[in-house]
Amino acid sequence: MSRRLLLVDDDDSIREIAQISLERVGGWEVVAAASGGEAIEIVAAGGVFDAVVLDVMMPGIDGPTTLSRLRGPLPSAVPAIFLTAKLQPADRARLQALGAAGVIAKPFDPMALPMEIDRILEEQG
Amino acid sequence: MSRARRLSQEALGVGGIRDRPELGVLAAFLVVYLSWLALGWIPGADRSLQILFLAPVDALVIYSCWRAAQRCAETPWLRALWLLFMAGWLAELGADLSLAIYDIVFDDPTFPSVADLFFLAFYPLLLAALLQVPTAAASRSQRLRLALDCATIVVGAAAVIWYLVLGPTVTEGAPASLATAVSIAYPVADLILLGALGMVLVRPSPEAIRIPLRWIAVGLGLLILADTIYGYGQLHSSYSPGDPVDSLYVLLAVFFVLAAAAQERLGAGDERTLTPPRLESSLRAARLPLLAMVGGFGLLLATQWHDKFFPDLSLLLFAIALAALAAIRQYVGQAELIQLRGRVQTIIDSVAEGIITFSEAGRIIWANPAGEAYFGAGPGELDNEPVDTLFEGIDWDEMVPLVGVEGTPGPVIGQHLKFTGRRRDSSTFPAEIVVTEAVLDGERVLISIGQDVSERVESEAALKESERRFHGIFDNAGIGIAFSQFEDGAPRIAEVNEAFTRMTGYPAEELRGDDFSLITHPDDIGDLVEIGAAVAAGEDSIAREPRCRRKDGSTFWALLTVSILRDGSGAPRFAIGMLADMTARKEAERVKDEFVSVVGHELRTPLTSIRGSLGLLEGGVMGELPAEASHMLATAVSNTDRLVRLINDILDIERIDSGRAGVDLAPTAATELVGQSVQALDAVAAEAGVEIRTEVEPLTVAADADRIVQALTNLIGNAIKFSQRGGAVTVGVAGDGGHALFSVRDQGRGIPLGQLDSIFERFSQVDASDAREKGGTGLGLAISRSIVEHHGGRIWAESVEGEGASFFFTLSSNGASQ
Repeated sequence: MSRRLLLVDDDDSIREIAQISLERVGGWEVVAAASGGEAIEIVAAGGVFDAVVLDVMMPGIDGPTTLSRLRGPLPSAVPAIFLTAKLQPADRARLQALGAAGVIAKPFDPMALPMEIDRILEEQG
Repeated sequence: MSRARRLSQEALGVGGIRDRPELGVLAAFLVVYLSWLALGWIPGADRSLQILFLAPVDALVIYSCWRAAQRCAETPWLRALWLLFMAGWLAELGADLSLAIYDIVFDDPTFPSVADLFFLAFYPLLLAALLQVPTAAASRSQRLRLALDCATIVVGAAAVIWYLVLGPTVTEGAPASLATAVSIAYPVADLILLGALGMVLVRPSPEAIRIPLRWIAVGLGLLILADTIYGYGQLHSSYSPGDPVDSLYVLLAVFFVLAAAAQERLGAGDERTLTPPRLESSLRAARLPLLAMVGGFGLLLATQWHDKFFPDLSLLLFAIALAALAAIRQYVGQAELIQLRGRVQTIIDSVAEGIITFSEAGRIIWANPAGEAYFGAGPGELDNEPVDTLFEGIDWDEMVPLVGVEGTPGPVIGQHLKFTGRRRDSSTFPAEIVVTEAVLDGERVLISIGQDVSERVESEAALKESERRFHGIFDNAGIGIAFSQFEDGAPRIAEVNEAFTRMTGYPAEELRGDDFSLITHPDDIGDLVEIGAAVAAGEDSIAREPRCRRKDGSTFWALLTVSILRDGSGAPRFAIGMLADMTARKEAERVKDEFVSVVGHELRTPLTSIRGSLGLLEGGVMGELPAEASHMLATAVSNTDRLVRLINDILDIERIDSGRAGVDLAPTAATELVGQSVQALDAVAAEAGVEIRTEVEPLTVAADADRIVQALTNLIGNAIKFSQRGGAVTVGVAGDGGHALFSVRDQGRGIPLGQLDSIFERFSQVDASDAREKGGTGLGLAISRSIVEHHGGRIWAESVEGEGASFFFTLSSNGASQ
């Protein structure tokens, strides 16, 4: 049974690369959303996921806001992982305080990304 | 004040008869005595009874001297003087009583008698009293002059006494008889007394004893006169008790009463009147010796016509002595004058002020060397020149009414005047002079004393200019400046510049006296307290960034820099507070921060796509690629990674160096910091085949953990990079006083000695090929140094080339962790 992952990123190239990486290298079933709003709609429409990966800086609804909106329909047991191109020590602490299971810096190595996510999920238990 | 009273004050120096009952008694005595004398002139009256008047008047002198001694009880020498006079007059009283007993009871005027014993005690006591008078200090030539004057007086008097009394007694008296000895003793004692009196009179005496001494001098003169007449009378057996000469002795006593009564009461504050005035040569002082000289020579001349008593030889000796004294005195006096003149001349020649004397007609009489030098003239060149050629714009005809005439000096006399002096080469200089007037040889001359004030004028102008310039800086400075004075340990604003009032909104009057608490935001008063503590600790330049509050209540971020000026003892005297509005800078910092952050994001986003695409291709996700293509992709991936690291490092160091990524110090276990760093590099080390060893003491350090891990990671990563496969990297932490010493050692190729410092510079590499081969950005050590230095620590490297390198840094530590 394949695991389902919701991927939210406004940058088409990055979203595509991440999706390929997660599907082909990590064996995830990926549902991709190009904006926070789209992600919220997908979940509201009854989408069930084992993990959520979100970009932080997005036009319109940004990553942290999207996560807090998703938290209603999406059980809090579903771990959320942020992808960010703006990673300072303070940012990491802030995102973890929002309930993120982990933070992965951009640019990432697409061959290593699935392993990184697995590691975070394992840590999460 | 009545004329009589003033006269009595001037003559006697006393307030009146009331203070001096002895004067009343004296007056009564004189009435009785004169009445008796008047009766005595009536034929048949017993003149010998005159001797009875001596004892009462002696007693009156004794009483007066006693009272004078009491009035001067606080001045030892004056008190001694009057007590010695009193003792002398006690002897005189004893003598007069003895004489009276001989005369009246035994009717037997023997000579010599017990009375002579008393009389002869009188002289040494008076002498001792006179020697109490302090005299002014004198130079050697002055002392010689005084001694000569005194000798002249004594020799002159001695000539008279020798001629009248002493000579005949010595030559005609019974040899070796007691009577002859006593007869000789009186005139000799008189001469000695005269010598002492002369010594006192030829030099100025203290004001306190001046008037009494005048009366005493008259009295002692009478004593010598009376003794001489008496001796002459005895010699020629023409004296009998009650002769008019006895009245001279009464008169002597009267003058002593006057002298004692003239002694003023002296208090503790009268030192000035007790000090002898300065000795000066004056014609007055030379009067007494002149008198003695004239008297001596007069006598000599008289005896040449009418000599009956002794050979001319002895008087010739006196004449020679007087002439010799006169000659020597003349020489000494002249020498003293020449010396004095020389001294005055030296002073005039060497003063810096120009002294120029000129006549009322405006002709220069004489100029001193300084005066000649001011006008560029040689010695004597100014003499007889018109004075108006010396100054610009001066016409003597116009000056005449200004200098006035003798008796009515004009308005410029005695005033400080400013002129422009004209040198002989026509150059000019500013001069300041004072013109005074004097009468020399019966003619009025004008004396101008002045100096060339060019330097002062220039320095005043320079000072004014400098003051104007500095005030301009103060007034127009873009930052607020408050000049404060320390009062009771707090700086009170004395003066503020325009910018300060503009920035704070307070007018200068409201700021004056404030200690900066008016303009500081209440929440940031702590900054002022810290500044105060720093000043007390001896710091002279302190900067804080408090929020300031304007008069309208609005606030702004400020940079307050306080500079302290201290006095000699190190106590703060003045504080210069400089206030800069930091609002714009704070805003600029915020914008820059945001910009850096956006740049970081915007650069990383496309890099993420590039790196991701390349990674998927290289990873074979898109299918197998030819070997050459894989190699090219690997190159692209590693260089993309390097570009990413470079961007990260550049943004990092920018943030750290600008101080905006402030370090957040917290007590942290050193083992934790090392553990995190080593763990992050485990994989890298394993891949490089390098073993990481740790030797960490359990210390607690003050650290921003993320930052120190970053620095340690840089150092350990470098060490791994430069280690051989199979080598080891040792990470250590050791306690060192209040510090923890972190070390990272490798066994690599080491660092050349000359580069141990420069490797911490940005983009510095030991070898130009390192960047390529080792994949470093060249910023790692610079970042590490920034981090350590922002922690207040020190970072350095040590190395033996070929044997590896060691990197050290310190952090403050408060000892062992739990």
